[in-house]
Amino acid sequence: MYAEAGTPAQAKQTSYPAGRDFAFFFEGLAEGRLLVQRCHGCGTLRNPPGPMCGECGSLGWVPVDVQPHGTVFSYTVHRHPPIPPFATPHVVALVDMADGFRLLGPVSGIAPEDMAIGLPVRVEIGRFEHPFPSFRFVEGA
Amino acid sequence: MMGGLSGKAAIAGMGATEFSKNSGRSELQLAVEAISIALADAGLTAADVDGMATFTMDNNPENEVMRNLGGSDLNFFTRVHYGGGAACAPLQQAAMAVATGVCKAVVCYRAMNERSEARLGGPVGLGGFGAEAQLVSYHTVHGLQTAAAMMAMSMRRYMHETGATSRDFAHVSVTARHHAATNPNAYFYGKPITIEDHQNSRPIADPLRLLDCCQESDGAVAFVVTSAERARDLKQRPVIIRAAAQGATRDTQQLTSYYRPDISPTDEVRLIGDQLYAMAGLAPADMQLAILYDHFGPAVLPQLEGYGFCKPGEAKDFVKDGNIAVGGTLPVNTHGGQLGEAYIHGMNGIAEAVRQLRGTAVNQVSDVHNVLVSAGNGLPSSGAILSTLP
Repeated sequence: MYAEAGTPAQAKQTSYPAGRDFAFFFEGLAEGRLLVQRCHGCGTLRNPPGPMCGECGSLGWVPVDVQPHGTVFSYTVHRHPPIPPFATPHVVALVDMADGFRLLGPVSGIAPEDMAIGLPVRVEIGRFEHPFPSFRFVEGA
Repeated sequence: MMGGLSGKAAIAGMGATEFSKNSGRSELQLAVEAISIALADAGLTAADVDGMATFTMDNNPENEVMRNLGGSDLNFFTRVHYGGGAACAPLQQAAMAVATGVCKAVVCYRAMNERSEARLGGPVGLGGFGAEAQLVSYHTVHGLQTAAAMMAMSMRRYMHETGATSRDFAHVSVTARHHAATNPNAYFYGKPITIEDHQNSRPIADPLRLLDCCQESDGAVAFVVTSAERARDLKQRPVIIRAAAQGATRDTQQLTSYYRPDISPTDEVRLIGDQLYAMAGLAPADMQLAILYDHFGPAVLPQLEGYGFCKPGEAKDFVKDGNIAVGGTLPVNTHGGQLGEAYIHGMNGIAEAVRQLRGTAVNQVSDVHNVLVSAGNGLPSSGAILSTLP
C-alpha cells in the first residue's frame, strides 16, 4: 500500500521514570512490593502518582501496599512496529485494581485472543524485559 | 448567547504546499512557501503580518519564519501545546489577538516533514525529570509506546461499551478514501478502498488496523487571520471565525486518559462543543458538514457523539447509514481527511473547511454556511466553527 519502506522502530524509553513523584513505585518493586500513593489528608489512593491530592489539596502522601489483583478494564495488543525489548505481539492491559485505582501494565502468559475485558489478573513482580525491577499481569485472581 | 469572540475575526487567506512523502526541502522552506501563498491569497504582504500562531511539534521558530519572509515587527507570537490536539487553537489565539486589537494580521502555520525526516508514527519517548516526561515514561516503560496503541486502549473500551465493531470503524476509513479518490491533492487520489480492504488490512494495535491509521506526510498549510471587517475589503470571500475553543478536563492526558470513568476520547470533545455552540449561537443541526480529526478513523465516532451529531453510543449506526459521505446528512472530511488526503496535523482539514465555505472544494457540498472543525481528541484539544458572512 505504501510505496516507501518504513524506518526501523527504536524503542526510545527503556528506563523508568525516576523523578520525585514516581520513583517510589519502582523502588517498591525492587523490594517486591506493589505500592500506591495514599493521601494523608483524605486517604484517597491515586494513580498515576502526583504531588498533590486532587480531592482535598493535601501535599502529604505515603506509599502503601495494595492488593495485587484486579480485573481488566481495557487492553490492547501491540503488533507493529516491534518495540524492543518487548516481544511482538505485546499485550498491555489497563486494570481496575481491587483497592479502587487503575493500573497499566504488560500482560504475560495470556494468548492475545484470550484477552478479554473483565478477565481477573494479578501482579507478578520481578525483572521482566528491563534491567530494572518491573511487574507484569498474569491471569488469576 | 453570542460570545465576545464570535464573528470578530476571519480567515482572509489560505496557502499550502503540495502534500507528499518526501518534500525534498526543509520544513522552514515549506513554512515560508505556504505562508507566502496565503499572504498573496489575501492580497497582503509580510509587512502586514504582526502576529504568529502555531502549535507544538512544529520545528519552525516564529522569528526565523519572519526573517525569511522579510517581515519586520511581530507584536504577538504564540505556540499552543499538545501537538495535534492544538490544531484549531491557533485560530482561537489569532481571533483573540485580532479582537482585542493586539494584532491586525496573524499568520497561523504548520510545516513538517513528518514522513521523510522525524517520523510521527513511531514509538514515543521523552527523557528527563519533568512531569510530562515522567508520565510518558510511566506508560512507555510498560511497552505502550505508539499513538496507535495508546488510542487502541481507549477504543477497545469504547467498543465494549457501545457495541461498535471494527467493521463499523471501517466506514470512516472507506468514506475518507472515497472522498480522497476525487481529490487531486490527496495522496490516495484515485485509490478508494472497500470495507473488505479495511477488514483485511493488518492489525497494528488491536483493535486498530493499518487502514484505521492516518498517514505520515510532508507538507505545510498556512492561514492569515484579520478582523472580519478588514477581511471584507480583501481579495477573498471571508471565512468568519464564528467560534473557537480549547478543552481539557481534569483527567485528560496525552492519549493516555485512562484514569477517568469514561476512557473513550469524548470528555474534552464535549467541553469544546459546549463552548463552540454557545459562542456561535448555533447547534449541531446548523452545520452543513464537519471536519473531524482522524488521526485514527475510530476516534471520529466519539467525536460525532461528543459534538452532538448523534447520541452517545449511536455513532456506529450513524456512520453505517451513509450520513458522513458527501450527499449524506453530515458529510465528514470531504477532502479525504488525514486518512486519505494527508496528515498535516489538522491544518489541512481547516483548509478544506475554508474551501467549502468559499465554494471552491473539489467535493463541494451545496449551501455551506457553517462548518465545525476539530483537533485531535484523546488529548487536550481544540475546535472551531467557521462560517460564511451572515
